[in-house]
Amino acid sequence: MQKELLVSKKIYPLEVIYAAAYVYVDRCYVFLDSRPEDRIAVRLKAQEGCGPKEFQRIVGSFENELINQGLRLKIGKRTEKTRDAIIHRALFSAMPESLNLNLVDEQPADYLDDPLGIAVPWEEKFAKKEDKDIKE
Amino acid sequence: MKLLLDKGLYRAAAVKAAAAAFAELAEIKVVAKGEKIVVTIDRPAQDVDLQMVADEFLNHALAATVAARG
Repeated sequence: MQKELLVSKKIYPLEVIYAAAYVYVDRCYVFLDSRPEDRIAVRLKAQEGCGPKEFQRIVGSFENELINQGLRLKIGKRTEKTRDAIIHRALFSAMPESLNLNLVDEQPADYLDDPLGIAVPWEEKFAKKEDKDIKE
Repeated sequence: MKLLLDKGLYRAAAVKAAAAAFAELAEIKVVAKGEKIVVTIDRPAQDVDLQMVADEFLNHALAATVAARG
């Protein structure tokens, strides 16, 4: 017992046909073949123990699955940017506190600050010993 | 039994993987020929139905192709 469906790639892109076929590989045997005019032949074959009524039901629900997967693809493309933004936001929020601290700008250093004591005036650094003694 | 698979629909690597998976059930040869992948399935193991091996093989190759495409 088998049934061949001719599916137009203009209506159902290959991704959609693959996705629908993947859902059904455990319920029936699925074979794909290309046909002229951008069409794909989907051959569904009943597995052992599958009666005619059950097989008819599988064929019908496969056709519905094509529509379902087509819609999923369409919505997926339409909401791609929003989903990316949500994921970026979620990942950023999940960053550890320590990493967040690194992103905060530190207080800009004042040019007058000299925490290491290296800003010694030239006169002081190269002054003669006597001069230093006088000063002291 | 000879099966002709369209190269544009079935990935060669997936078909080879399916052939390896079913190697114990039958003798399976995979050859690329033009736009088709020719699969020859012969000499089924004892108590194994050749037609069922072919059908299961096709399902396996299709599932592996879809999985590989992501």
